[in-house]
Amino acid sequence: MPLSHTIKLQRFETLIQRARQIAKREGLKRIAVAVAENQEVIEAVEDGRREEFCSGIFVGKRDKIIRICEQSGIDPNLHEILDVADEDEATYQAVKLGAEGAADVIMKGIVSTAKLLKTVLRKELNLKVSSLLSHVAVLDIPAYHKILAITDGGMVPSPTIKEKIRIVENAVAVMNSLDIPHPKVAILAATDSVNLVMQATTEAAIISKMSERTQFEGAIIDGPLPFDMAIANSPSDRPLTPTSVAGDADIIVVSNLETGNMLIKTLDYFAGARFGGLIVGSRIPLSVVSRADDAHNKLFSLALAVLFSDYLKAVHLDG
Amino acid sequence: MVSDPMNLQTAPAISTFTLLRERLNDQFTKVPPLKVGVVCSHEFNVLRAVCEVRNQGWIEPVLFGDEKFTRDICEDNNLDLTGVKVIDKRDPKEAIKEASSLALAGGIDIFMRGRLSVYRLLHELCKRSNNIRQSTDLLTHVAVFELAKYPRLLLLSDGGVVIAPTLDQKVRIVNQTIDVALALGIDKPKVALLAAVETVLSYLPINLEEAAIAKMGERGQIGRAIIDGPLAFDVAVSEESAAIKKINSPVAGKADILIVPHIEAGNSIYQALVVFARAKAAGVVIGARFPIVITARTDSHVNRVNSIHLAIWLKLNQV
Repeated sequence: MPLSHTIKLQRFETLIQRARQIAKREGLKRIAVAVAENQEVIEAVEDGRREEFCSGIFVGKRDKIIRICEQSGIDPNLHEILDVADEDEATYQAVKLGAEGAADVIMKGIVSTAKLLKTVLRKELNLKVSSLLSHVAVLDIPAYHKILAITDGGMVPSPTIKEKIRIVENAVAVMNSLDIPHPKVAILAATDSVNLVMQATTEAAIISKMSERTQFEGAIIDGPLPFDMAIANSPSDRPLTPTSVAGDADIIVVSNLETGNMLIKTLDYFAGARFGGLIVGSRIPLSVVSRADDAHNKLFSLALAVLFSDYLKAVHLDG
Repeated sequence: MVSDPMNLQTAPAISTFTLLRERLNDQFTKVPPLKVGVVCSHEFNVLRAVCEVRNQGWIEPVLFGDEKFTRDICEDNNLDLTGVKVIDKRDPKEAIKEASSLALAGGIDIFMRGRLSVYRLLHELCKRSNNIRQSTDLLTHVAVFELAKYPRLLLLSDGGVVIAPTLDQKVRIVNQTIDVALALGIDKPKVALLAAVETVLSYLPINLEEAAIAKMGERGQIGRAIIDGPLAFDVAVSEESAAIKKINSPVAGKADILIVPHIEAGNSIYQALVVFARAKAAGVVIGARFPIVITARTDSHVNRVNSIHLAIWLKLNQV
């Protein structure tokens, strides 16, 4: 069943309200779902419609989509359906809707993430803007004093330092879109000292030195920092620089996919966090939710994608 | 495990730190206190924890460090050192040397880190004498958590010592962590080899290695345990997630042990559980003849005491 108006975390609720305001101004944001014949995905889009910020363009087998809508008590006429039986073709059509401006967000249905991304990267669609697509998760953790982004726990397995820099830039853009103009970025490692046998610490040191040299606009970056020092005022044996993000990070950059993924899931399962995620680096945000994400998390992922889509349009208009 | 001195086969598994304390209380009616060698003892947090466990009657500390500084700290904080041997060694190298000699003469059962780096302590200890390190074993860190939301103790390795374990080292980490679980009375512990996703994908080397280890487990090549991987964090600890993702695994949702692919992941999970999920925790380095307690300054007093308790229990059980 679609999400009822149950308790949501306050910070998330604020962001959903912002998505609603944008939709009020510009009309409901359109979510093109690639291969949409999946109950959870359709319900997530319907949740977004009930929250008054989006509606779906379900690309896939019409009969099946209508049947799923009826089973879930959703009026299919409140969304658009594009009848495409073939999976590859449905994926292509959904992505093309995004490329042509007929959709604001591209969402993964039951197609594999790999196939969706391959389609997004097709040259003729001209969708890729950054040199790297990366995943950004945004979490609302009850015990933390603000929202926290973790990246990359969903896309890039073991980023090179060059890729890490793109990952930072992509995440900074997402936080900018959430009205956090100068996010504090912690480059995560297992320790706060630079240890030459731990690559995560040396790369963190390099990136934070680049930040000191003002090579990153609009972000304050420090690392290496272990997770506890990034988010709490933990004691350290070493003096931290005055610009340090310690204890007040907005963005956590992990050194590999596994760390990010496990950290997000630990916080979700054991610390009562809610999170949304999106893939950044293309002209249109991509929403890829996992089956195991609960309805709140899926709704939040869509709200994030809508806010980011709006931000990308504004940046594009500014040139 | 070479013997079963605590009748583990009959006793129920230790599922909380309170239960661990009760079991220790029973044991110490029969055995004398263990000798804990504190290296570079001039550190308030460590002295406080050591004195508390001493007052329980379970340990007899031997302090190696700056004697005047150590005594001053104790005086200022009402910690009673009456009858405690303090050996004046200001140089960490000298402190380790002295402590090692005493250990090899049978005068120390457990090591505890004071005011020096983990790396320095472990490195010097191993260098000092091959007899400190058991020839076949790897020094590994095992953390134990008690979580409000989980019905049993959860073990995690390695988030503290081995930076990026090779396949061979990972197998040792699995084996040594199983020994700890067995010592805690967890019969046939369920071991989850953690990754970002359950699928075995050729471009994710961690998933490939974990698939190999899981198969070794199936073939009975690894100790008395049920092993599966790759598994994502949520699938390892949540039966609901496992059901949604349709992962058919004897470990999914019921893991006793989490094995992480590298130190960043383990360290971040540890901090996230302690800071945001208020986990009760303990951590010990095993693989030497003596358990080594290396708690960090950021650990709470309660968790530092838990760590000493765990080390005592492991020593009594010959882990």
